Amino acid sequence: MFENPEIDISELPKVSSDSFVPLEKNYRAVMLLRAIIVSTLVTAAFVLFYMNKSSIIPGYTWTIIFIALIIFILSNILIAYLGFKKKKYKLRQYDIVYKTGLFWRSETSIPFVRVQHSEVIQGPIERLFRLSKLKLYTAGGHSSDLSVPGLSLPKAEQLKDFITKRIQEEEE
Amino acid sequence: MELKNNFNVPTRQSYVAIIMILYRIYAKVIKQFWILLIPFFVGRKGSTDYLIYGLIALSVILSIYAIIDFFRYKFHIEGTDLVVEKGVFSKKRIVIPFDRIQSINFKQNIVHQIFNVVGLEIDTAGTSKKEFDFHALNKKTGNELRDYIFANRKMVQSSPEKTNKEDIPYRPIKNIIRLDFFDLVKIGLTQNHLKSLLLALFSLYWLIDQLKNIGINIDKYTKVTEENILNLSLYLLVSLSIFAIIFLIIVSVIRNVLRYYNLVLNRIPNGFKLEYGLFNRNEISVMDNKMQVVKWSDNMLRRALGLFTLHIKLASSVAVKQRKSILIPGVKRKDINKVLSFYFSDDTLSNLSYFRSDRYYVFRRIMIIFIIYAFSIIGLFSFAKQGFGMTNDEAKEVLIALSALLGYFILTSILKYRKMKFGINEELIQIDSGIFGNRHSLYTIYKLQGIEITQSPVQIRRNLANLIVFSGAGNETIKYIQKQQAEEIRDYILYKIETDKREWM
Repeated sequence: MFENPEIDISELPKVSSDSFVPLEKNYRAVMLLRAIIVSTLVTAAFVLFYMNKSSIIPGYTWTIIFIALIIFILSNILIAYLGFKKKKYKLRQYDIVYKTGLFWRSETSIPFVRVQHSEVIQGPIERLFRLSKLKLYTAGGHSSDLSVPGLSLPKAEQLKDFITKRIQEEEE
Repeated sequence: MELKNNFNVPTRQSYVAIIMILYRIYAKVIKQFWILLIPFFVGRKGSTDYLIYGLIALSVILSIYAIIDFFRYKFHIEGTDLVVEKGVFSKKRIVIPFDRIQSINFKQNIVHQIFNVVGLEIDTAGTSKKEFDFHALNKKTGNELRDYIFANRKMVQSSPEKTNKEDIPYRPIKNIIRLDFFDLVKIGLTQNHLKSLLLALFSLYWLIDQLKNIGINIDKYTKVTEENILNLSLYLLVSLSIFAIIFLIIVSVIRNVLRYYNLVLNRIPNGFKLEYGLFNRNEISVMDNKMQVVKWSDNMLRRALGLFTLHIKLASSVAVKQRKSILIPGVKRKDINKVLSFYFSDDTLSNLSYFRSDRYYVFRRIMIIFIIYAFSIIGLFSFAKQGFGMTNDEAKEVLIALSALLGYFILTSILKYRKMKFGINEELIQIDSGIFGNRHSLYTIYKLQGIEITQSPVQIRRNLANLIVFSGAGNETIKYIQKQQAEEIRDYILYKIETDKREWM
């Protein structure tokens, strides 16, 4: 019979902030490379626009735009560099928690019993650094899917197997 | 229950299915190749002869295809599997175990209704699209087939600890909710017409402006003196808007009556059955365990009549675009309670403890609105003459409009904050929101999919957080609560999901 005993909230297992596992060190390089690629593309777009003489924007505005651009690029790279340290995950017996964000922080928890399926993904930049991403899909749609990037391939596979096994155990 | 038809022998659909198949094929073909029809209307006489022959040949081929399709489509039941054999060129055999069938919905368009047949949609779990439809079955056969499938499937709820409801016995109740003609008229009248009105006003204003720009001055045709021009165009604007709004209301009333005509919500074993529609009669059955969230909302007009829109959202497989759900406009609060009482005990529903968002939410919102306002005014006065080419009077008009907007946004922020609250107990989370109307969403905690806590820089400084709950039918955010409270709720929700063994879908 289904039982529903009263419980004390202070006794519940807490997702405490310690014992989170950082991502692989290489992942910082992935993040930096991505920031550099984005910055290069944005700069190229502005330079192309600038060289087009027919543009109506006066000269002093361009100075402001380029100063803003430099600030954007520097902060982009700085955020990538510092943001790496904020990306952490924690595996518990019944769920996984992923933390991210330098200024805007978020902490997502997905219980294994609600995972529909999981997969290990490797993008081109990640492959370069021999890293991969674990993706967990739930029935909640896009926004509730959880991705843990910056895992070594064997580690990601190992996590995936662990979660798959936990789901199967739950179903029995 | 004794069934006359035990569905042992492969059976065809009703002959009406041929019409439905033909209609479907023609609709598809016309959608793809309608461009070929243009020469008919614009071409010279005689030049389209070959096209006519082509079309006749095509329609003959399509008709033969539909007839073959009909004769090759057979279904029967083997044990607890529904077997369908179909295919025009190659034979396909689809076997669907009853357990995998989530819902069986009936659809009746006007042709179905004339011949007293139904179209069946069979929804299965885990697939991105419906595996098959029955184009047309005798109404009786359809009912028998559905009853047979639901009666003979191994219910997920067969083991007691997996019971979805809290020991509420099955009560066969008809007409839990019923909407008659006058209810539907009321619902149509109380739709959010304010939005339509504003839209109509703005588009009219824009239209008159455009006409003036291209040299057609509406006022010219009204033969009045200069002083009256402004008044008269205003008069015209208002009268046209009133006309437009009456038209919109009539259209909306008619649409509502046709769409929800004779709406009835009945209780069936382990679920609800909803029937509605005049020309297109729909019959949707949903099982209780698929329910993910119950929402009800009103607007200013409907609140005066005590009417809500009730929305029961269901879990569906990941790739399903159109989520199946039950939507009933114009429900009284006591009817909502009746529906909820099938899902939860009265005790569970009544002992929610309510919490509000932190007041800092509204301060911050108003602060941001003021900053945007200040920047717009600075922008307006530095560029009014050179940048935008405005006269002083025009700039003044813009300033008044901006100030009105400022007032509106401040008002809505305060109203919004006053409606923001959430209630929680061991079983449920209810999240309330709204600006002019009210929105309520009720989530069953153990059915949630996951949870997220987010903090913006200002929230970090004040130790506040947002809590986002993910459900099988969408997300919702509880804004600006104490971080500690958010963490406690998160820990409880995770505990509940992980220990509660009831079926969530």
